[in-house]
Amino acid sequence: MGGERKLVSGKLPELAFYSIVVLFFLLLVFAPTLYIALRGCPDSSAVCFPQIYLTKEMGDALFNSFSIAFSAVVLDIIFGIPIAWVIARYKTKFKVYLNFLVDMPLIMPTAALGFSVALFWGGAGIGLLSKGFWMILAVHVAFTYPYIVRTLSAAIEEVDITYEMASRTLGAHPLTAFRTVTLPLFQSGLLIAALLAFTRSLSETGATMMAVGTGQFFAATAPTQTLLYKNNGDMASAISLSIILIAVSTILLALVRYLSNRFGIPVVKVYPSLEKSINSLKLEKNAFAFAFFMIIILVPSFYLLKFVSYSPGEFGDIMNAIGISLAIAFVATVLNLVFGVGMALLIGRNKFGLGPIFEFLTDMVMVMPTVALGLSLGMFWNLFKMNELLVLAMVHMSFSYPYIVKPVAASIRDLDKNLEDAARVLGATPFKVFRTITLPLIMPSILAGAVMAFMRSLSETGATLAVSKTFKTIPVLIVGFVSASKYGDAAFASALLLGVSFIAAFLLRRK
Amino acid sequence: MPNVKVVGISKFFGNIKALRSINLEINDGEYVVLLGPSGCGKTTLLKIIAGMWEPTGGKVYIDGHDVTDLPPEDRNIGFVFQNYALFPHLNVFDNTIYGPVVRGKDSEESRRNAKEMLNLVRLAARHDAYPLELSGGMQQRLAVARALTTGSSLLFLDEPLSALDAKIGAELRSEMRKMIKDLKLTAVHVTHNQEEAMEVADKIVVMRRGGVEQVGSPEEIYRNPTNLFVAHFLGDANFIEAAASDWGKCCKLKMLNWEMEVPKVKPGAYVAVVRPEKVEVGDDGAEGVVKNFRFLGGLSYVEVGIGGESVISRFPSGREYESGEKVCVRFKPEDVKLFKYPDEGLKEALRID
Ligand SMILES: Nc1ncnc2c1ncn2[C@@H]1O[C@H](COP(=O)(O)OP(=O)(O)OP(=O)(O)O)[C@@H](O)[C@H]1O
Ligand SMILES: [Mg+2]
Repeated sequence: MGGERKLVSGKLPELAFYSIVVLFFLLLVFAPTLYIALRGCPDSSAVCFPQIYLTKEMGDALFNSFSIAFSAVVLDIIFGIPIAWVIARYKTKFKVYLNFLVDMPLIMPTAALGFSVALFWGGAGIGLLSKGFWMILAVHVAFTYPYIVRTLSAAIEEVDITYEMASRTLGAHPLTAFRTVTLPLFQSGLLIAALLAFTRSLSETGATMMAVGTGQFFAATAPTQTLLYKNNGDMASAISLSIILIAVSTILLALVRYLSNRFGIPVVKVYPSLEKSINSLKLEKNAFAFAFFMIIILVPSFYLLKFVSYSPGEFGDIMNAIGISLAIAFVATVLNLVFGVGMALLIGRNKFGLGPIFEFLTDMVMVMPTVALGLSLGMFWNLFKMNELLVLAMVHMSFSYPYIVKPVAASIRDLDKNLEDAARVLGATPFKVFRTITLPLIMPSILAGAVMAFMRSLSETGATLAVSKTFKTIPVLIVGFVSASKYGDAAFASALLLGVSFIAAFLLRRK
Repeated sequence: MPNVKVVGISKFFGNIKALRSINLEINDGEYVVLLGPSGCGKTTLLKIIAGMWEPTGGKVYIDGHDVTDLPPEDRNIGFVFQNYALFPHLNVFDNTIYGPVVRGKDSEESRRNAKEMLNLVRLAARHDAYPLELSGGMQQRLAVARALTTGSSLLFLDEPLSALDAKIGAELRSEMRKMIKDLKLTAVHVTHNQEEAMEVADKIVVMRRGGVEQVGSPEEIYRNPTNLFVAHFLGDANFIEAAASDWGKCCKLKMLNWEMEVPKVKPGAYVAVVRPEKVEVGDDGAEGVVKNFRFLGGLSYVEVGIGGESVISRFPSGREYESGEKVCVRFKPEDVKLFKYPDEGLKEALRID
């Protein structure tokens, strides 16, 4: 402890640096998201607490949102675990492709993905589902699945394979070994994955709108209902529903954090003969899960490519919207890179003992439904009569902020502190240490975070719709095309957006 | 009665040949040690016999049955992993009883059995502790207890003592051997520590670069190494370049600045291997200069430079030497093992990796 103290010099600049980081987060990211709680009088900019009420309509929308999110997460986990296990454990070339395939739907902007999935199941495709609850569920399963598989495979990979081997030599069949050893060891990862997928589903707007019927604004879930209130000018209801959504997701977050430390999967009960017979069905070959992935996730996600048609009339609008989307995503990502990495340092190194608090606040922003967030931020920034494009950029910065902070903080936490101390002992100044040791080592996660944040911004619909008056980002444009039944143009714009996302992801990954 | 037979086992990882056609027999009740430098394929061989990895070629027999395609859970082999792999979410008792539980044999009897096993490894008092709360030595003993509660009489140990500090490891290894012998188990123990191997083994299998170099009792291997590498890896030895020439009924061996008569061999270049404890320092023999002297407690050690080579002698402490002192070294013809001078050069033949 004493030695560590001596190594820390230049306390003052450090304090100043972290103050800026914290101020940026609190003033520009966090506080604006909660501003909505002070806007009880939507028509004036005076501060007054809003009335919170729950009508039958809101209750139905909330019920729909929760049952869809819950069902989607359960399906994701059942069919995601086998694929995640294959990705984490198999050492074949096939694994590389599988990894890539699982990531594919992440690259697809959710509005485009929802459109594609709706086309696949609906009358234009195999005609199995009509628009409504089941269609929304199909869409939500498709876009949450990659989050579950990604998080789970990372969690499984962290469980040393020797534990499974040890269990096998003690007489456990593969499935028993997985259930009694691996599963309990990554259960907190499972809980986090479930939370992430659940809140993503709870907050998704663009994709839902694609699955609830054309033409009219049929409100099926809480976020779309909020937008409907806003468009109809019923701001009081929109604000009330938003606050309920924010509260619910924060409570969920707190609950999961609490549970992940205390909750244990009991391992005592074992059914050797049953599990052996399940095993001998060759379920371990995962054919079923793989088929699910292909038929339910992958093919529907890219089905829209079949419908691409080009009409010159809309081309200008599409290019314009792509330009706006890219500009917003770029500005938001760059701002987040500058200030988010500082926050990641603070959380990862637990500076001044503030790590857990800011980690929770960052998580709060992440699980917050984007419509509610957009509504709040829109009202906040309009206080300053800011340019609409700038407001859009600020909104996108807020909801994509956690996507940079979280992975970078995790990799800073995993970083061997001795490396930095070693550099200090060798004579490097704190700033030099950061530049020559820390930064290169956390670079991969910074890039990964940047890709995620950029993608999230590019694909976000709900928050944009909650703010924009004149500017249309590309997902908003796609939603517009679909409501005007211009399917060919919607498909064309989606394909173009897909191409752009793909190139952006590719360029960022290569660097 | 477990006996293990390995026939022509090979394992390739891409271009790396981790094992090249290994043949090996392990008899019932035997304590066998696989000894070899890091990366020679010991763990690979153990994991193939236990069924964790598939061999590229060859067969594994246990009790005369071909088990090559059997999964590990059906081979009934107790396995102690290098880092123990104790389940961190289960306490000491639940770790110990895990084997019977997952086999569906969680009976009163198996619980009693597990308790007995914990008594045997002196962990009964810590039955509700979690693995992370135990010292390294305790973890090691728990790993052994867990492997044995399945009732297997075949126990595999992959470097079971390498994570412990030297003193505790040395204490545990004799304790472990005694327990394994008392329980009449067949054990296969992997190590790269030759001292450990000598102490516990009935039979040592010396491995190098994916092949078996020699199999025999510790004494046999120490006294009669079949090649330079084995002589080098088991115990210390002097390697002295020598030339043999015909001398009628016997041979004359020229080495250092000295010569001696040895039983008849083919004339040519040789390497003479002499254990340091067989080298005497005195007034007669090869003349050299003391380069280094060390007092090691009961024994002392002196290194004598002769020409470009040096010879080490180890002897019961008493006489002390100064650097630069002129001395002579000698040894008896019966303490010299002769090996043909290797084509690849002496250094290469002795290389550990
Ligand atoms: N999973 C693997 N993939 C590729 N090569 C491997 C793998 N496992 C082992 N090897 C290679 O096989 C050879 C033998 O490895 P093995 O682990 O059996 O050695 P070892 O004798 O147990 O060494 P140590 O004493 O260091 O544990 C080494 O060259 C190693 O690099
Ligand atoms: Mg090994």
